[in-house]
Amino acid sequence: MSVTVEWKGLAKSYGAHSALTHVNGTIAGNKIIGLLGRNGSGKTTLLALIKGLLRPTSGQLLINGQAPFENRALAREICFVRDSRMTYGSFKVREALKLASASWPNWDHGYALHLAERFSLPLEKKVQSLSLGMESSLNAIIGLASRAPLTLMDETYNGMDAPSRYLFYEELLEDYMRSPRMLVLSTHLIEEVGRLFEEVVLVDQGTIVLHETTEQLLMMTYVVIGTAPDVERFTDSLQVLHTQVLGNMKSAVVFGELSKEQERLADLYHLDIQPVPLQDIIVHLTSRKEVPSS
Amino acid sequence: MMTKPISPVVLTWQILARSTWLTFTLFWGVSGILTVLLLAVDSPGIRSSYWEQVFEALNIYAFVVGVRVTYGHLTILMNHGVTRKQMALATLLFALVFTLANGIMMGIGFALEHAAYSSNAWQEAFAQPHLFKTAVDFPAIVAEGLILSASTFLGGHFIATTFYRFGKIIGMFSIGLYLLISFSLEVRSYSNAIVTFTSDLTRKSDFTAAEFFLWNGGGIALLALLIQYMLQTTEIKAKTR
Repeated sequence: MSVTVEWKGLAKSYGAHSALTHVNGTIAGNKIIGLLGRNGSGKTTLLALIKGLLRPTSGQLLINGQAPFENRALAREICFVRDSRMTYGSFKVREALKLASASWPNWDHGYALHLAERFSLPLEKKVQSLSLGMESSLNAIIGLASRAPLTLMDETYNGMDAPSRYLFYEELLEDYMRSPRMLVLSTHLIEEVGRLFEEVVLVDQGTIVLHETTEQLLMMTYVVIGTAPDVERFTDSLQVLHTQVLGNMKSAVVFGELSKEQERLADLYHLDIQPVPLQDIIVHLTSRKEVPSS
Repeated sequence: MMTKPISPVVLTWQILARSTWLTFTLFWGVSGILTVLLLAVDSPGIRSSYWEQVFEALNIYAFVVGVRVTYGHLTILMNHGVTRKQMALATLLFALVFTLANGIMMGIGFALEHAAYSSNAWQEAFAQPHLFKTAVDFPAIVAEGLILSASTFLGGHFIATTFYRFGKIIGMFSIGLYLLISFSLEVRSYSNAIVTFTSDLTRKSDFTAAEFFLWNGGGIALLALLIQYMLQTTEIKAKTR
């Protein structure tokens, strides 16, 4: 099952507070998508709307043409794991996995147990008494073993130590290769997980400000380094996201594709052109007041 | 190793039953032990039934179980692919089994207590009006236990769901509404009110059995409808550490 998620003028408010406004766009196909943005930008609200936990205030959200709120057909096709504590009550880890196995049509229990072993998750321990990192491991296992056609992971790896996080990335990629599906990952750890993203959706101040393939986004952002007057001349008519001055030297992060003419000018001014890591692009894009439209 | 998912309604029912069986066992175990202890230490003679007091405790217990349904289970069930409608239906089915089990436990308790009274040639009496006249009228005891615990279970469920759905202010109003409904429905409260207001200490009950079922049934149906509406339209709030 290939999934298409469409937002058409989607908005969500909590009383007087507007969490999302004018959200438009489409994500489709089996791919790993990074949902990125600053704290409070609206990422979790967007994911909760996709899962059908929340109802849009206005506009439409359609998954394969259907609204997800109270949708029996979609309820078991969308797995949403998040960083918050789900109310497992007195459930042990083993029981939580059993509950998941009774819930998700494509659940692979053998794989879940294999992951539990790899993450050193104690099956007989109560979920409530797990550390944050351990609970995140449980959520990651549920997200992966559910094999849901649309899997949403909201800061799933919060609190995990570095070896566990790298184990998760490794398993995520391997399992995705085995069972392609749409995986949407919301994260702050862009540097670590960014290499997995095929597409990036950037949410800022309650709306989607950018949706690009990761490759395209990396290609259309670069940093120019040289003497301050030369950098200023070069970037005069370009969209500059960020500048830094050190003595006589200046660097400028430019958003926009580098044309042949600009390459020639850079050579002429003896400017150094370098790529910008994904995390820096996101930081620069979301720390500007005006974000350029792609 | 692929597993087969089970029906969301059945899954919900199982989760509710799982989270209740321990308190259910504890409640009836402790009630039984206390009754036996009181019977053992009390001197013989004319007395009220001790087991009758369990009705009051049962109301509180059923209320607490009702309160826990929404806050304890809604988020996790929604996250596991259960819809609100399926959860609401499963909760009603659970309430039916839970309250029937309570009624049966009341009936068994009265039968055992009656046997103890009879074997000691004690004379038993009830302090409150009931649907039953004797402690061995099992069907009427079960019916009263079922209906009273159903109304308090749904009362707790109703108040908690209102708080969840609409927040604190409207939630507070739901407590008032529930008290109004329960006050006008619960046969003993109703009778007590009549007794209090008229000082007619001889009056025990103003409801016939038919009226009792009609009024309580109406109240239960009203609460169930309100809960169904609220559950099916509520949004799921994140529960964070």
